[in-house]
Amino acid sequence: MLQSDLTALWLTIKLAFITAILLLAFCIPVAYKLAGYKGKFKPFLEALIAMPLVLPPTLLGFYLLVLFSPTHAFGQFWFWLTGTQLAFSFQGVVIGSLFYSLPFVMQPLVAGFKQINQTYNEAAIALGLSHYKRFVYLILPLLKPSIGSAFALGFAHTLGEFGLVLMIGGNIQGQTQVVSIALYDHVESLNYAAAHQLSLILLAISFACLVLLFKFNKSIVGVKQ
Amino acid sequence: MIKLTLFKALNNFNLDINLQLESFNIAGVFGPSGSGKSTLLRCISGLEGKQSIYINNQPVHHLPSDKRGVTLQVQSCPLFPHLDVAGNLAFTQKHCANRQTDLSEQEVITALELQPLLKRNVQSLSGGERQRVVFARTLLAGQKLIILDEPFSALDWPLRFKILTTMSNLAAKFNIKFIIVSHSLKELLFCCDTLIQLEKGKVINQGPSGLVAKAIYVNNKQTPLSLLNYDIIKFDEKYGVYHLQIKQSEQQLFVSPNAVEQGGKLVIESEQIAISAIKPIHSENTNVLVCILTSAEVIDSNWQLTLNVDGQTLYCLLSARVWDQSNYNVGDTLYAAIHNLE
Repeated sequence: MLQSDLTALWLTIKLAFITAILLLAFCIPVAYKLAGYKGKFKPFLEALIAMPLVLPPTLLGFYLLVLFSPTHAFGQFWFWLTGTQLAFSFQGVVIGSLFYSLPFVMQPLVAGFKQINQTYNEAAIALGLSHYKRFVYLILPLLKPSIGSAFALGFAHTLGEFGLVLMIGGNIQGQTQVVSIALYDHVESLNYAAAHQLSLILLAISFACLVLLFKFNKSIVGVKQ
Repeated sequence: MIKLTLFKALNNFNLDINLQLESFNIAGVFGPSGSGKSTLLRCISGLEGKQSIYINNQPVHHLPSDKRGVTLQVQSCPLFPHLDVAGNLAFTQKHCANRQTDLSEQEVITALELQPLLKRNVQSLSGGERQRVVFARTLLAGQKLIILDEPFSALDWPLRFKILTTMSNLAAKFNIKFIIVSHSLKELLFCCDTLIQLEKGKVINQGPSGLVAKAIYVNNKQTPLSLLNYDIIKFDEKYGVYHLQIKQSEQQLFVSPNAVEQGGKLVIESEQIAISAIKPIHSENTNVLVCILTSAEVIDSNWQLTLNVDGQTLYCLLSARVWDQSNYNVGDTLYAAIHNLE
């Protein structure tokens, strides 16, 4: 296996892991609020979160590239803060992935919170448990399977990212070249043996992620008692 | 003491309740499905609405549920599925703040006979077992006002009477007040001292449970259930029956262990009673009670007779034909044979 492929593989796993962890940290409190929110903006918020599901990744990539550019206020702010540019950097790709995989992490969590809210949370309120105790000792332990599902989905979905990374990260070895882009390179240069090797590894990892996901799904606690 | 003024628009009617509950141990709320019973309970506990509610002369309507000193056991209340039975009980005792009773976990487990269930996964419990564990968990929240919404609907009658007796004992021992909602008048009559009848969101009757229950029975053209208080004299091992003595009376009954083990009161349906003006032979060895006819009313073409057994009440039903032929008068001494007790 080529050294560059190993680097791409490691980079992809690192990207997927960081993205899934950051998304969990962001989505758990937001999903908690969203699951209990019944206001008139609910459909707008839900649509906003689901947008990356339907948008072409290149569209997301295009707008993020514009945002990251040194001519844009956000790009300038980032440069002032860190001294580096976001466009064509690993950090930039991570930010792009956060948008790209957001619905895959948010939706299982919202569904999990809703299920817990309807049944167990109300029983705990009626028992007289405080808000903090309910969240820490009841809701979070009950949410474990949903957190597992959300992580597995966010991780697996980021693994397969292509268009968005290409748009905002380019194809820089060790920086932004993920497995899907390395694979594209091999096919373009007709190096099918390397392409097969990389594809099989990606297939195996993705399959393992989905097996784990369904294992978590199976252990989700049902409402039925 | 509980005082509340509620107004809430529901789907088909308005819940409009002005209620004052003075001294009570167990108060029952009776009404048909959809009469606003559950909403009333949710308002008292703080799960719904910000209505005017005073508990022991303190306003609580501005307080969240966990600060009201009230525990509500909602209908089909779930157990926490990530914990086993023992875990559910320990969880409640550990995390419920401001416990006001010193009811221990062991006391609750013993009272409700939960020892064999402790290690069980909550998903594997039967409906009746689950309701007993849920009730134990509610008790362990440690509050002095406990509100129960159809808590024992999945239990069969002997077990239900037994648990209701346990509940009465706990109410007396730990000074816990219970408000219990049920669509079963039999259940409420057995355990409650006060009864509230709700219909279409309004209180239409309130008072001592015997009186309210009788009014409801008469209204529904049914004969009330009779409840007799007794003391146990002895257990006759040869025949496997208890000798009971009616409270404040010399009269005795012979009763199978099943009926006694449910505790406290003997439940007698009107169909179990046959009356006669002539003293049956060997009546001292059979289940015959001497009583006085205190009133007779026509209910749906039958006659409902109210009998006084040394201060306690029996209700029985006679067909119009038997009533006309028997010539009973109010004040007569009659003999009530009670069947199916042994």
